[in-house]
Amino acid sequence: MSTATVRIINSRYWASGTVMALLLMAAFVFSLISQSQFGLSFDDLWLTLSAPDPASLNQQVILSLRLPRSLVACLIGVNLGIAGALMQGLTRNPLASPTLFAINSGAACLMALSSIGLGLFSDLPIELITFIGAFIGGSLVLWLGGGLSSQLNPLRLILAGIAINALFSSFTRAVLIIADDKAYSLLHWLSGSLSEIDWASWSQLWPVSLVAMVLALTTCRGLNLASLGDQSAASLGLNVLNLRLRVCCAILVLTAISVTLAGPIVFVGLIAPHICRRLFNHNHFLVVPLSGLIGACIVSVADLLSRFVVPQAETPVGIITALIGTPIFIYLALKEPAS
Amino acid sequence: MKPYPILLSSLLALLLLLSGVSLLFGAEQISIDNLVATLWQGGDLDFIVNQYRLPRLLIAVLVGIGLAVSGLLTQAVIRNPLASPDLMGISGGAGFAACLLLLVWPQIGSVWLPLAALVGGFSAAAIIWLLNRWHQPSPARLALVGIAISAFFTSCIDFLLVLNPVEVNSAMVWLTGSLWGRNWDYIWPLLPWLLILVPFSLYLAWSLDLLALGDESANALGVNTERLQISALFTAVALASVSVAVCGTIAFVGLLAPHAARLLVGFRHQLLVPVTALIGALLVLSADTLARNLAPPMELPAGVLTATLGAPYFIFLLSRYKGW
Amino acid sequence: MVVIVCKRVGYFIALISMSFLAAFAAVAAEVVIKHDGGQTTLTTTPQRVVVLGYSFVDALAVAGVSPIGIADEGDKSRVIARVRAKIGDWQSVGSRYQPSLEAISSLKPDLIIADTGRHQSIYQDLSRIAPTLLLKNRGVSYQENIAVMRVIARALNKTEQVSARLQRHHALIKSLKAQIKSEASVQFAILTDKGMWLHSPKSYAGSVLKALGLASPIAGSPKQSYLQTSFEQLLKTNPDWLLVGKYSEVTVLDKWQTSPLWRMLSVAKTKQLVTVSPMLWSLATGMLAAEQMAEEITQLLKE
Repeated sequence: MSTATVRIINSRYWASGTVMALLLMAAFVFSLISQSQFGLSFDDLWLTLSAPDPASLNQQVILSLRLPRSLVACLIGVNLGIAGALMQGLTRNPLASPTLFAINSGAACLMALSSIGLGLFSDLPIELITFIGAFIGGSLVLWLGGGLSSQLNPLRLILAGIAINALFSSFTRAVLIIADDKAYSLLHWLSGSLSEIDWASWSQLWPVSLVAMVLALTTCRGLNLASLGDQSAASLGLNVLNLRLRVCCAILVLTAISVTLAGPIVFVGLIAPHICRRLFNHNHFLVVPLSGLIGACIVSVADLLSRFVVPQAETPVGIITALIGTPIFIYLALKEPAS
Repeated sequence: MKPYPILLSSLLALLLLLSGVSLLFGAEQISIDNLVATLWQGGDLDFIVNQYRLPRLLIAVLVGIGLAVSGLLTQAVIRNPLASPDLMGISGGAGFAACLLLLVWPQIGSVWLPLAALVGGFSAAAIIWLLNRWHQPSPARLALVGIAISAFFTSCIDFLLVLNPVEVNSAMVWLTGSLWGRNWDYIWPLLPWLLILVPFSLYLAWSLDLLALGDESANALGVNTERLQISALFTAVALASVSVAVCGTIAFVGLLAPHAARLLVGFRHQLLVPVTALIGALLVLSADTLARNLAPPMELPAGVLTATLGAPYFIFLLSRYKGW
Repeated sequence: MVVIVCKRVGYFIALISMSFLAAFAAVAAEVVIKHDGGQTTLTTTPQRVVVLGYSFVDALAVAGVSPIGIADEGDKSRVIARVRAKIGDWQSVGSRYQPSLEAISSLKPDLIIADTGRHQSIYQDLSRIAPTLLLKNRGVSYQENIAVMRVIARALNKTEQVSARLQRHHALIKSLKAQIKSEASVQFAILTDKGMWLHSPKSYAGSVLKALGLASPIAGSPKQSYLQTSFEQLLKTNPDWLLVGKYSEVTVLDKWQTSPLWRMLSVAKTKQLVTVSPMLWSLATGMLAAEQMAEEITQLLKE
């Protein structure tokens, strides 16, 4: 490869990366002040940075309510983007997503059951219940889909995911009918909402995410090898089962913590790696972290947009990601070369 | 393997027995002589038996047949025994279209819902069909596209519900796959479709057997594979959509009934179609009867029971399926 | 002889007039009620009434009729104490969203009162069991409910009794309104672990507060009854008095109270944050419930 080509490729990557980062920062800054009951403006933002005043209501709103929400939106986007990249690497299928592992539906089901006060669930804090639900869903799919056997069959994993998803969502729907007074609040959560995020959520999110992200990065090399096929990879010295366990663990933790704090936000894990592979290449060392960046963009922009749908009211961010996401997904699915 | 006529008649007998049980049990217990008298002459219990349990029983049977045959046809066309209309986004599309109609025009009569559901179901099927045509995806990829489309429609429905919170519960009740509140008015939109399409499926059955041999062999034997696939898929989508229009999504029937039938009679579609239909009817009817009788007067949606029974069985099938 | 003839004629006339009166009374007893489902004719005064909404139970209690069946989600404690004291025991017919038609039918009612918002789809079926009135229950406001009560009173042939009671009710509200004389803004909200819903002046609780002359802190006139409110929105609304009905032990309010922004709320400074019963303030929506709500808020504002 000539040096000129190398420079072009590298500068294209840098260009894409910079655009993404700028988009993210713009979304971040705008979500700090837009559509506020208090009519926040850039002046308030500037004052918060330059002349902090603990008594000013506007500044406190930015610092205590808006800032954690924007930060958490970014980090959840990173989590879901990375989880999506890992998922697609694991199943070697560009249409896979973390939803496959029934993590969202497991969390939703347990959250719904505890809402109607089902016995042993009501005593624990709600975040713990959701997290447990997410894990139960994920582990069930892994176990039943043959994720722990030596030969991973992606189709079997997918179908196990479908079955468990259907099971959990039917329970959730039944609860929605039985708990009629609380049905509307449940429905709001089920669509994925960032409206109740505060600094406590941030402090729960970042340590867990950091650990999981480090774990995810360690799998990059293995995923690169695994894309050649299980047997070829094994012959190159890759411990396939070990890799699979680490990847699944990372996916589980990243998605579970996200769904615990914000409810199920769909399509991010599906689209972010796609866009990443279009803009960059298939090298997992690039795909995994950059999917995170793109995921953060998507969620931040969606959160910003969600404030505009019904003025002065909250629309769940998950609905926005789904509405934007699916046409993009179908477009990508149609453009994808036949496997 | 039992001789076919004996099998068919025992299934029919089982269905009749279950119908009797369904008519006898409920929030109010009825004795057998009372039941017979009411069926012939009406009387005190006329409402409960003739206006409530009987139409519900018939709808359960019809929907069961519709979903089961739809599943059988889908599996034949996609040539994957683990495909089914509700997992391919067809039920999602049908549900979304009918939900849209319900939320935009709450006063609409129930006779328009099947039409709306058909439009929705066909749109979803068209997307899947086109993808299948253009890219010949592997079964895994097709399944994933189906899930994505399903998820999209679910999100659209949730979006509609968030914007119209006053209608949440009526839409929910309808969406979950429940036979509550279904009476004689719902049978008339459903019956004609089934009367036409189920015999049509029998007619297609012979050609479908040939299709299972592979496209080239089927073509060599004189089957127009393209037209066959389109007619079979059309029938499957129509049956599924109409069933969803009446009851919402009753999961897993389209997946399991064909399987159970295959266990009993093998792979010939001519034999499979009636047996699948009967098993589907049995599944939905037992789910609904249980749903009504577990905790009266509170009723569970039948869809929850089919999912509870269906998912573990599906997983069992997964573990035994050798065709990976 | 003439006397006897006169007596007989007299009896005869009396008999004829009595028959006319009886026929007249019978025709008069036939009542035609206009409701949201159309028109229903009641030929006799209903004795066995099944109701599918809590405000209807309240209306029946005021009329002095005890319902034989209520759609109470299988939980008798959902009917508030004041109403329960005035009626006898009843059978549960299931949930309000999916009442069991079989259970209703087996009670052999001669009148069913159903909710326009929830039971439109089964109106035909209900009418086959017994004459059914479709009246507003879900999302009903204070004034609308008074109108609904009058319709129910007519159907039960208790118009005088209910009108008299309503007169006393209006007098009570008027006197409580005079006692309050407060400029403070009062807001009722429902709390769950997932969010807070403010009840606007279009909702029942909101319209009762409005009838008492209390100001609403919500800007503009919202068209919806229940507004989902984030912490930021609550800070902006900033009511003087906040009454909360909790649907779960732990709610978002506990989370909000740990935020440094909490102290910017006036209710945090004045401690005018009161927990009330969600059954009474959100679910009950009846005249007796309104009286109890009015008494509670008057008590709070007088202190």
